[in-house]
Amino acid sequence: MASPKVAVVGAGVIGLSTALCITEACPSCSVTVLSDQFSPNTTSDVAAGMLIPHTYPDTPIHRQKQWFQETFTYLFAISNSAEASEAGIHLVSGWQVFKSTPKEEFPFWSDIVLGFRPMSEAELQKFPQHRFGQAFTTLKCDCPPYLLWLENRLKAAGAQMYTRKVADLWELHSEYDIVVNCTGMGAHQLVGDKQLFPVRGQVLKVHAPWVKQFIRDGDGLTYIYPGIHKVTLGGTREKGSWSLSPDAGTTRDIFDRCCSLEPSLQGAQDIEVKVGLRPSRQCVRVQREVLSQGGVKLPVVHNYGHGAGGFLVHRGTAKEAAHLVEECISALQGSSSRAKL
Amino acid sequence: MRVAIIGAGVIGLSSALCIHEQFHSLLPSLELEVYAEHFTPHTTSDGAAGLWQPYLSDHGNLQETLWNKETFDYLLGHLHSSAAKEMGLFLISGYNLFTEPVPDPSWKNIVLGFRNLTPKELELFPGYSYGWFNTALMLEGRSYLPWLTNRLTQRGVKFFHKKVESFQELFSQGVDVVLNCSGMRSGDLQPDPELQPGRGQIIKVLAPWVKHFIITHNLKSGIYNSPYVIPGSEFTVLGGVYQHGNWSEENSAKDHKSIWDNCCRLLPALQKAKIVGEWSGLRPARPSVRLERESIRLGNVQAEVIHNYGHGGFGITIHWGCAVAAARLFGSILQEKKQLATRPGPRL
Repeated sequence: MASPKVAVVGAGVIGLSTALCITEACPSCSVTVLSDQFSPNTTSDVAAGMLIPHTYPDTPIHRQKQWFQETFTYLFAISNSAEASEAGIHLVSGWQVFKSTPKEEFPFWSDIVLGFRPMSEAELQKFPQHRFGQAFTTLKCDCPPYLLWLENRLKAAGAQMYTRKVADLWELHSEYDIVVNCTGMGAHQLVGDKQLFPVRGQVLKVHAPWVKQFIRDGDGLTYIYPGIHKVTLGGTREKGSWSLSPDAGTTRDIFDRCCSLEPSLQGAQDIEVKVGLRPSRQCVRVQREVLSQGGVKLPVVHNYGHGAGGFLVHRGTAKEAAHLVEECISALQGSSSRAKL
Repeated sequence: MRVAIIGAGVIGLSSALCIHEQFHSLLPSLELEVYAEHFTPHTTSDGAAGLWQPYLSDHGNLQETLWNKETFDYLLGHLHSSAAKEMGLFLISGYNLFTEPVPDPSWKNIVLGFRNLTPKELELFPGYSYGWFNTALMLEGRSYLPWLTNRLTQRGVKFFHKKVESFQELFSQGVDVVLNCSGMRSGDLQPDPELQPGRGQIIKVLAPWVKHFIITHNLKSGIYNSPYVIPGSEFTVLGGVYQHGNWSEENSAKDHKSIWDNCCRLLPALQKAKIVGEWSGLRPARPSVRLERESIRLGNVQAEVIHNYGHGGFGITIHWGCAVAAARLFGSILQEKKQLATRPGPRL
């Protein structure tokens, strides 16, 4: 197979990074990204892109750690380069505070982020309702810049991108040799995955340029993440809610919770409200599958279900998916050479 | 009781506020007047980035370290107040970088979370093999000075835009006590060979992705003669010039190039940053801060001057501790003039 034609469906952080990894792993592949939405209208654009892990319940810790490590290393190199501002990748320091002391003093990611240590008594005084905290420096991927940067890298690598609503993966079988499914929440409909469910998140993006540090409540519900131009205030975790409409009461509640952690936010301006549906699953689906109809086969690689951790593990899962694509190519070449006999 | 403050930078305004806060209710006749040639946004304090950080070593000057601590704690206490944003006050973390190990600074226990840099962090800064990380405060003069001015105006303090030529001039108008907070220009009022300019130049850029301060140190070339990057609320300050004895307030093309090249080497992404301004200023440098009383005989009157100048490149860092000390000196003047009823004590 001289130039395998690969279609990547989905143009959020998972689709674009997976497409990029495929161009890197398989330079002879012709890669096309198909999506009904591109930045700034993807779920990834709503996310703050803050690299502070939480845990996928059904994925072994070592695998999550490897994905996170690969992602962090990749982004760290970009943040340290001349492209950092264009790619929207920057270091942020801050605090994660807990009302009750967590079970693990040193979570699995504590040696991947920079300078991880427990907060001092003096630092905790700023948070009278919290009794324990962690201080560290991590990375933030601002969107749209990061997605636009990925799109530019893809174009430079010769990949094509088209706005197209794919209703059924099978419709691509005549044009492409391999299909990569990075449709996030869309996989619920597209491949009928009933294990996939939305966890609705509402956030505020505000102008508060004096906020240089992140603050996150260990319960994961309240957070303040300073981005390049705006600070993301969050949030909510509404399991099973499909609504993409902002809720005014929720806006008020998020604002109040964040102001209690950082009172100066009372002076925030230009408040924008955004909603995204985290494509959640007990574990991320990074898996090969072969669809077949009437003797015709279509290899598919799935890479979706990253829930709240899309940015955290995107490079790691993208590389794994690209590796699965290489396996598909080998299988196709194997079967095509068998066919010649 | 007329008190004149000469100078409307961070030292003059904060000293005035401290004195008014402490004495106006005890002394109904207290009248404060601020005289200055320059007001915000044209003072030295306005040009400074506003990072709270003393020099590396206090050279055994424990008093200055205490004033620094008093200032930090005072500001930290205001962080959660509704005034913080208006004051230009916010938390910021960052890096101090060295090419060799150095002793911990006098302020390591004043700031929050002080620690050494890990090897992975040092990878960010090729050429530097040692460093510190800590969380400190920013107090932007562009906001703080107007805030102080508003507080003072609310309290009925009067402002006069004029260059005072001598202490005499004020005393002959009936001023009782003068606070000399004239920074770099103190030598015009009373010669002081120990006061010398420490010229600085900065480039202001838009680089909102930079969230940390980064201060490099070159022990041979001296403090602030090595690149630094300090992100503010509206723009990021690039610097790294300290020229002792240079009185020029003109921007130098040579200094611009050296600041730009060095900072871009430190943070390559700065090459994409848009330059929005440039400024030069004179740090009022002195081997130690002059904070003391001086009695001047004028005819048959004893005139009192409180000197509070010579804060070099750490004026914002030390200002409140000095303001409190200046207020204490003022209190002792009032006691001597029997202006203050002394508290009834045990009769022995």
